[in-house]
Amino acid sequence: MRLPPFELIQPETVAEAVIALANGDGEARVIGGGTALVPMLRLGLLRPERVISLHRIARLGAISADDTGLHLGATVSIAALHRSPVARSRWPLVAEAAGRVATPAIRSTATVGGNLGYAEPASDLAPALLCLEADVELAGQDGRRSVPVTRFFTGFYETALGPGEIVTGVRLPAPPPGARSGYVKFCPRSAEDKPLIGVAALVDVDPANGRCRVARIGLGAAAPMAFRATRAEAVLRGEVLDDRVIRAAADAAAAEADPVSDLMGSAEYRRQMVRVWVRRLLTRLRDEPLRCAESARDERLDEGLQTRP
Amino acid sequence: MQQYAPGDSVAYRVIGTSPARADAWEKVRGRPIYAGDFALPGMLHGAIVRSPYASARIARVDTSAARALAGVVAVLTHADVPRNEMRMELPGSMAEATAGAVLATQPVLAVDRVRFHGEPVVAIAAETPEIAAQAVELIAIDYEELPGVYDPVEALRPDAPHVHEGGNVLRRWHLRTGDVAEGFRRADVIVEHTYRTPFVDHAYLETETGIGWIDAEGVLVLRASTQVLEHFRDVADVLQLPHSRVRIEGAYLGGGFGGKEDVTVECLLGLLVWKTGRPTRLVFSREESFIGHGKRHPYVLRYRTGARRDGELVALEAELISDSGAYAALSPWVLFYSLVTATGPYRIPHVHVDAVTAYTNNPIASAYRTFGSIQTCIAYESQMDAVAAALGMDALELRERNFLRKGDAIATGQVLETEPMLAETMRRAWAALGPARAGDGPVRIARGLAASFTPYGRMCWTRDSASAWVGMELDGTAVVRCAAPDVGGGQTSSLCSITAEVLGLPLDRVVAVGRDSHFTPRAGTTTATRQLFMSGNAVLRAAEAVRRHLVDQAAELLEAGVDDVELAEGAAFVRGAPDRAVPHAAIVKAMSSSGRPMQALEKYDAPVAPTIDPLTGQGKPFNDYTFGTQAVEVEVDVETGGTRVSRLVACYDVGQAINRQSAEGQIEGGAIQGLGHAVLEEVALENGINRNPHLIDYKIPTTLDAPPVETILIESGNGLGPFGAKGIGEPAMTPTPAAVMNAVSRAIDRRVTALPITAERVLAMLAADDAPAVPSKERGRRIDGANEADAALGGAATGFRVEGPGATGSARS
Amino acid sequence: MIAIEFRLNGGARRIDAPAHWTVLDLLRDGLGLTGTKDGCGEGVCGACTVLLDGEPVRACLVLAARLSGRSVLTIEGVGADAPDPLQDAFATLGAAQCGFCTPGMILAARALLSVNPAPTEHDVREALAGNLCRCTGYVKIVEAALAAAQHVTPCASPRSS
Repeated sequence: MRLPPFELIQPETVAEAVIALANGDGEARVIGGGTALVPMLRLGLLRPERVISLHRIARLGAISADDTGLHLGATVSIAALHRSPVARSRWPLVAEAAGRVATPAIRSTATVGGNLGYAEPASDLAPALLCLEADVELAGQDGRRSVPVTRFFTGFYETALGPGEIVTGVRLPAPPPGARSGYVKFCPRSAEDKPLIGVAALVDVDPANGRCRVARIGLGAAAPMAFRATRAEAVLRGEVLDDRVIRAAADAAAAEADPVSDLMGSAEYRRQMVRVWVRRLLTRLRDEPLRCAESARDERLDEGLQTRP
Repeated sequence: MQQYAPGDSVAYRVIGTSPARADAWEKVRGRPIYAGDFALPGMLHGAIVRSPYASARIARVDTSAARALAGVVAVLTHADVPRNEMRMELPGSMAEATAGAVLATQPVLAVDRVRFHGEPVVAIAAETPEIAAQAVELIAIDYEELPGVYDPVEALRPDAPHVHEGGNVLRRWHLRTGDVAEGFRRADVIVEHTYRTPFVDHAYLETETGIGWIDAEGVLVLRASTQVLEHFRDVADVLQLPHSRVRIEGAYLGGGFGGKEDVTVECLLGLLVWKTGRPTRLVFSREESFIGHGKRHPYVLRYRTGARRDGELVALEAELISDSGAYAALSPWVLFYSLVTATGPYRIPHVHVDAVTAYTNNPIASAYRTFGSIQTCIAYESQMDAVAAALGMDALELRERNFLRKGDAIATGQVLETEPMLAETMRRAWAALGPARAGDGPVRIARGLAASFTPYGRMCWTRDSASAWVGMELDGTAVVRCAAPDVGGGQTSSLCSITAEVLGLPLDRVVAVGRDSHFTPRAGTTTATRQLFMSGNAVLRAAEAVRRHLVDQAAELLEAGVDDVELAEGAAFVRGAPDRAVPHAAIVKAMSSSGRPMQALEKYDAPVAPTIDPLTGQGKPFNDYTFGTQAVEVEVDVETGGTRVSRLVACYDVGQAINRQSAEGQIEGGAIQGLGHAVLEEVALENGINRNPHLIDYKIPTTLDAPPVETILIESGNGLGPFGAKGIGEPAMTPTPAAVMNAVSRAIDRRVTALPITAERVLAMLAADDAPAVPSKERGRRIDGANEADAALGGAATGFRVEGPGATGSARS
Repeated sequence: MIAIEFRLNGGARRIDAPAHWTVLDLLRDGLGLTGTKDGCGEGVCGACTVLLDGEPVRACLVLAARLSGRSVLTIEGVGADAPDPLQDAFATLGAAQCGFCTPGMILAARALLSVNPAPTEHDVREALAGNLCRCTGYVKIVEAALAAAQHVTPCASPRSS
């Protein structure tokens, strides 16, 4: 089925993109890979007169790391992020989450910026970015600014993007050395699906006393937007991660969730699954052998590389 | 001269092997073979305006803005349709026999009323797809919503809104044998449950598609993705044209499964082509396909089964209620298949089944692979496990004790003339699962199975027939002409295999040409698992006729008796002297010179039987059945309810596999489609509105959901098809949901009675103490000797439903 | 209209297309290459899968304009010069029934084999999880992909990082 006709703008700089968006007068949409926008256009849910594609802005497609962290340009594909050696070795949580997005052909098309801007509550990337305390970089007519991802998602498919602003990239600071992280995507229907709920967690345990000093839990599809389960995190901080503490944290996370009922499942079921999967993920992270953040390869990710080109 | 007697252990050269299908090469190269792959100069693009309401009056239709749009060539409403009616033919005296029957018609374009979400109201043709889509937006229709009914049980109530004049009962069938009250008196246990199945969608990869044009002779030609070339008659009737003025070319289908058995694009496309005079393409979008085309019937199945302590089944009382949706389509016939299969493949002396299909304002339900046999299997196989549990008996032993054997009568009185091989299919499928695996932590592992029987071929009184032409070319190759639509199951390729076998040709020297309502002999619909049986037999006869001519000629050339001539590997030779061979090309040239016929047109008629008695269901409904069992292993995570089918084994008596790989492929595909029905699929309706008309929300199995499938073929030679083949297309799917239900029931120690088996439902069942799943009756005590009086089903507050200790799960086998 | 210059199945192409056309529109309606199929328009079914610079993408989601300067492989380009092991395996092992999913499947499998020449069955299933098939139950598709892997040599297609 054809898309409704529109004018396509392909700016070569961020400045040009911002100008094009401003000239659009509210009738323009920015497209990343199109995996979210194109189906909506096709269904007639949106009818922009102009579509602004960022793919010609070369620097938005770059992945790099320096002493301020991992820099992902807005048009970096999810597949490229999943494959990136520097992401896999030093920010394994975001590489792992990227590998769980949809299927290979979607990953090679969808973009980091698009994923952020669409702000789907069930995004696989968002819980990981929340745990890694990323900063989202924006550009607009008033210049550039950055918003912590923990404040970027403001509501149901809503973000802190102002009118005329675009996401230009995201910066992930280095996680605490020695931290353990993981992402669970719970798909009770088909194995290939949006998550019914998604749980990302990053924990750092003090080797001297076995107590948790950093605890971050990001939940997806458990509320109108992806969020950090801060009360669950508070339960963990300063504690030894025994079964009782983990259960208490899981209960707290379940209480913090604000899930919807939809075709995939009821709110009560989602809430219960938050409880189950937060507990399971924290238990797994506790029981896994310690992974040094500087080490080269993660076996689980390597498997992913083999199967997700 | 019958050369290939069923059951002979003949070593065939082609039959039973696994050659690559000729069409497979076209497909792996992406060659244009589907209806949507063709375009014509000046082609218009069609678009349909569909009702967003499930039940409404059409107060006003304003097409003026659409007509005014540049590039719009036609905007058609019901007034533009010469005869705005598609009829369902109801053959034989069955038509008059039931209560509340209404003439089953459906408008091509709605007149003043819409009865389901997606009902077509306006048809548009425009120069480009973009303009057509814009025109759709410009059609202004004022609807006034009307009260609707969205549940077939509700629809049967006297105060329910009427979907059509004359009430909501479309058709009733009844099956009576023995004395069911007496049967229950003799029962030591009685098990009662109510099963529910949802609307599911065919979800073929290719949506409904067609291209049409008017040819040089003024014939309206449609190249369509359709299972029924005979729809040319429907199109002709709608346009009030002579039947000979409409022709349908059958493109290869990108899947059918019964969803392209009713008219889909044909009448709308024909209308647009005829009115504009221009070539036109009409393609349903995926969303439109989900909303607009017929689905599988949801059923409510109330089953009450009685058995004696030793496992002998003595009584079955069942009520089947199906949701026909807004129009009749094939609902009465789907219901009929359910009636015949309601007992399952078992001897039950006392049977009382009442079946009714009711109109609602839900989507139309019609043909879908197994055609009413899958819903009854869900019920009868769950009942078998439940009875086994009540008796404390092994579930396989219970089945084996009651399986139909050769010489037994099914509940309609039809005596089975060949051995059903049921026990063998069951034992082999079960054994192939191998040693039981233990669960781990919250994951329980359990196994279940379902035996089944599914008719192949049409109902006996429909006088089904198929014709085929086989002819030799001067170069020694053979051509098959037979209008059997190819839905992907290898229909065309099997005809070539049969011809190659009979004529002694290598397979690559046989070609099947076209599937066309005008230019190839008519073979009927690719539905009802009838094509191998019918067109296969027609081709067999035609090939045998050609063979006789070839042999006669070859005998002359070889100076031998006809009985000593063999045909193999593209040549004729005297038996025992293969070095002195005459190639086919030489034989054919000689036939041409001597005036011997080089071709034959033959017709195969299926055996006929009188219509069955509509009040008792007694008679011979089908010529034959395919028997098979599937066994599955499931893993259930009891903390999440998540269910995964980890193993699946299918064992069928296919009679004789024509192309072994194709037979396996049908079984593998049917089983996975059945798996989707079992655990994933449900059309989400909210007061008749389809809420998940997209693949993102209507999930069908992916590679990660599908376990490896092991297929075991038994070849008894007992089929009525060529070489003793039986049909396998639909039977391949019948037992899968029941097998999964039985396995999950064992894993969670609750009786699963509704589909799909979602994680949330499983978790809810686990949480509900030890009560079996709603809405079945609760566990009771075992009844010894005494039986409650015959309480009616449905609304029975008495509920003397009983299962023995433990709701499910006999000794874990 | 947008002028698009790109490489298609090993050859240079230049075509004008409306801005709102997707790669799928361009292939089927602009270039008459109908091997790539339109199955859903949502990016879910995978019947529209083509390789863009060696990576599998959904032609129904990618705007045609994005092809500029890039290289596309469609089913029409597979096996054009020499018999392709995936095509051979799919055809001979019965992996194509109705065939509508087949072009997308073959391209997705090709993308897998280009980075993982010796996949396990699980690798194959993961890589093909985005290609729906309603006919085969995937059994013979997986067999065919594994069989082809025995014969294939890794494609030397450049991959953008």
